[in-house]
Amino acid sequence: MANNIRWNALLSSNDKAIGEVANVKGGIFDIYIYPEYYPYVTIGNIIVINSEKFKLLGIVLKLVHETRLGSFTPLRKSRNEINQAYPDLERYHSFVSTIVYTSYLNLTLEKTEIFHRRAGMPKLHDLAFIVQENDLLETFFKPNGLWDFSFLKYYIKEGASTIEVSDLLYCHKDYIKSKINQDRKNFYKAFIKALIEAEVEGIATYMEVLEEVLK
Amino acid sequence: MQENAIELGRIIRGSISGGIIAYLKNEESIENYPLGSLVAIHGESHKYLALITDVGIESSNQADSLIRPKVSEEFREATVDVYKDRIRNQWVKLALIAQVGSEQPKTADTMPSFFSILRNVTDNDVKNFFGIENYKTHWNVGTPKVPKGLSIEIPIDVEKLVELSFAIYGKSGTGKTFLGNLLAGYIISYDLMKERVEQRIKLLIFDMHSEYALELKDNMGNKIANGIAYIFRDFFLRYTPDEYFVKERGLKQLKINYAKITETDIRMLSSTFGITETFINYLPRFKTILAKNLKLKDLWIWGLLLDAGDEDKLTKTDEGLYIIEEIKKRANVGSLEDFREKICKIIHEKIGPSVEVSFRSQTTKLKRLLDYPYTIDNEKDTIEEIINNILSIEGKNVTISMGRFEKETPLYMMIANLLARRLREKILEKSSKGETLETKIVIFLEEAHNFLGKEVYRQSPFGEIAREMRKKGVITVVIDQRPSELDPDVIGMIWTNFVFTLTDIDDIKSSLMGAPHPELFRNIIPNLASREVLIYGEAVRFPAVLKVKDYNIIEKFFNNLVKKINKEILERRKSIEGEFL
Repeated sequence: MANNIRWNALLSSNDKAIGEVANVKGGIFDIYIYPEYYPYVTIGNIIVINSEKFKLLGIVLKLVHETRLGSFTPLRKSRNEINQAYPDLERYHSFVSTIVYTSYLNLTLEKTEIFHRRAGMPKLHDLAFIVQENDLLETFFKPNGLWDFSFLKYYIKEGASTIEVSDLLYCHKDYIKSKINQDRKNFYKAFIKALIEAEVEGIATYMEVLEEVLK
Repeated sequence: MQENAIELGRIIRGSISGGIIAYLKNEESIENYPLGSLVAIHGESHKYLALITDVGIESSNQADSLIRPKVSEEFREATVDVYKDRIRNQWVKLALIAQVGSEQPKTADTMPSFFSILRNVTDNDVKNFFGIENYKTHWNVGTPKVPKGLSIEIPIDVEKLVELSFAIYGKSGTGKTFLGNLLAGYIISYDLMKERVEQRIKLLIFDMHSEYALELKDNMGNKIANGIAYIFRDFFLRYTPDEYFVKERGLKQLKINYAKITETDIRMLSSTFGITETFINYLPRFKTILAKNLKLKDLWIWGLLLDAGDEDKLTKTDEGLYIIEEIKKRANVGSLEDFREKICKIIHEKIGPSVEVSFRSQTTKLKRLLDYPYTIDNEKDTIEEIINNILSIEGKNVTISMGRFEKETPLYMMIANLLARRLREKILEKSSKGETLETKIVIFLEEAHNFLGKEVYRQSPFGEIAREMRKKGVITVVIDQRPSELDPDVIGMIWTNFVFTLTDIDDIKSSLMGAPHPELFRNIIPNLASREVLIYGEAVRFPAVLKVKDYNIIEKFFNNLVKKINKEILERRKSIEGEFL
C-alpha cells in the first residue's frame, strides 16, 4: 500500500515529469526530454510513463540531442557564453531519449506490482518520470520480493550490449549494493537466468561487468 | 528396498537397436547412474525394463563461460546452479531388455512412446520380471545395480542353467572363481533337493588353483572362505597331483598313467612346449619306431623322454626303477645312453638325418613330463576311477586341484585331455549298447582356451566333448579370461553367459556374441567393478548387471544344508539298521 502511495505521488506531479512520449515504435519509445531535465537523464535510467491503464516502464537505451532546424551552426563559445548570448537556444533543440519498453506497473491491484512483460502501449504526450527512489526501484528489481532481471531480455533484444547493461548496473549501483548482501546468490542467479533468457552470447563478459560494478 | 517408483526423467529419442536416450530431471545427480543399472520405463501401454549403457551431459557453449571470467566463487556457483536448470541436460542411454503389458514379461519388441516416464525399478518390478528364489530351481545369484544403490536379488534358473553349456568370462581377480563356486554349490543343492531323481548331476571341476577343493583366496593369497567341494566334501572326491596336498590336506593322489598318453596329447602340448611342426608331423612315425621297432609297446612315450642323464632321477623311486628295467628289457639295451642312441640310429636310417636332428632337439623340450606325478601301473589309474564316479548315479562329484602344479599348464592339459578322452570313450561305449547316462555331467573348465581355443578345438578331446556330448548329457562350463581365443563354435554353444569385466575389445565382442543388440552392452563390460557381472541367456529371464552375492553368506547356507542332509542320511541309516536288528 505504501508503495502504491509513492508511485501515485510520483506520477501525479506533472512538475516531476522529465518529458513525454514523442514516438512509439514497437518496443521502443522516444521520450522528448524537457530541456531542464536533460542533464539528469542517463543511459540505464528506469522511466515510468503515466499512461491511461497500466503505467509502462522502460530503460533508457540512447540519448539524442539535435537541432530542430535541421542544420547545425558552430558558435565557438563556452557554455557560459552561449547561455548568456542565447538564453532560449534550447527551444530550438531536441532532447530525445530512446527507452526500451520492458515492464508495466499495475496500480489497480491492492498490491502494487511490476510485471516484466508488455501490456498496452502509451499515447503520444503521455508524461514520463524517472524512477529513482529506492522503494520504487525495489518494486522494479525485486517484484514479489525476489530479484528479477527478466526485463533484460527486452533491453538486450532491442539493442543493449554489454556497454548499456554495464551503464544500467552503474546507474543503480547504490541501490543494488545496498540490497545485494541480503541474498547475493539469488541476485547472481536472477542475473544469469535473465541473460540465458535473452540468449546473449558470451555470458562471461556480462559476469565480469557485473563483478566490476559490484566492487 | 525400493518400494515406490519415483520419476527420474523422460524418454526423448532413440531406437530399440541403437539405444534409447532419456533426459534426467534437473535435480537428479548423474553420479547416481552407474553403467549397467536397471531402470523402468512407464510407457502408454507397457512397462519396460532397461539397462543403462551410457551416461552423459550436454550443455550449450555458454558453459564455457564458467571457466574464463574472473568472478567470485559465489558468483560462479550461482551460475552453475542456473546452468544446471537451464542449459545442461543429463542423459542416460538405455538398452531395452524386457517389457510387460497385458501379457507376461517378455523380451522388449516395442519402443516406449515419446516422453514416457523413466522411473527407478521397485522390488516388485524385479520380482515380476526376474522371478523369485524358491530354493528348488531358482537361486539368488546377486543384486542388480539400480540408480542410487542396489535392489533385491535376482535368481537364476539352475534347472535351465544345467541344460546347456554356460560360460564365466572375466579378467583375473574379478570374481570368476567365487561365482564358479557359488554356481557349483547351487547345482549341487538343486540336485540334492530335487523331489524326483531320474538323473543325478555330477560335477567334474578342473580346479587349477585349488579354490574349489580347499579354499577361496584373496589376491594376497589369504583364505576368505571354504571352497564348494570342501563344504560338500562328503559329496566330492577331491584329487590332486600334488603329494603335499595328499599328505597334509587329505586330498586323493592323482597320477597320470603315461601308458595312456597318445600322439594327440603330445600335439596338444606342442605350443606350450614350443615343439616344432616338423616334429609333430613325424610323431606317428616316431611312435611306430618306438612301439614296434624297439618293442616298447605301451611304454613308447618314454622313448621321447629318456636319455642317459635321466637314470639318476628315475632310480629314486620304485616305479622309476621299474620303468628303466622294463625299457632296457623291451628295447634290449644296456643303458639309457644306448637306448637313446639306438632310437636316433633307427630314425636316422628309416626317416633321415634331418629328422634325427629334429628328434634330438625337440625331445629335450618334453623333459618336463618327467617332473610330473606319473605311473604306468594300471591299478593306480585314477582317471578310470574318476570317470566311473561321475558316470554312476551312486558316484560322487570330482575336483582335480593342481596344488603346487597350478602354473604347470602342460600337466593340467594332460590330465584334462586324458579325462575327456576316457569320458568320451565310455559314453560312446554306453551309447553303442543303447544305454543312457545315469548322470548329467557338468564339467567346470578353467583356462578353457587351452582346450577349446581356435587352434586346438578341432583336435582336443574337450572339443569333441563340447561338440558331440551335449545331447548325451555332458555340458561344459567354460571359464576363461580371454573369450576371444575360444573357437567361435564354442561360444555359439554357450546358452548362459556370466561376464565380469574385460578390457580387450575382441574379448568384449566375443563375450557378447549371444546378447541381444550386443553393441549396446559394450560400454558396460569394461566398466564393471569387482564382483559385478553381466548375466544373459537361458538361465536368467532378462539380461542384468548384478553384484554377485557375498560368498561368505551363501557359505553358511551351504554348511547348514550339508548338516541337514547328513542328519537325514544318518536317521535313514538308523531306521534301516533298526529294521534289520
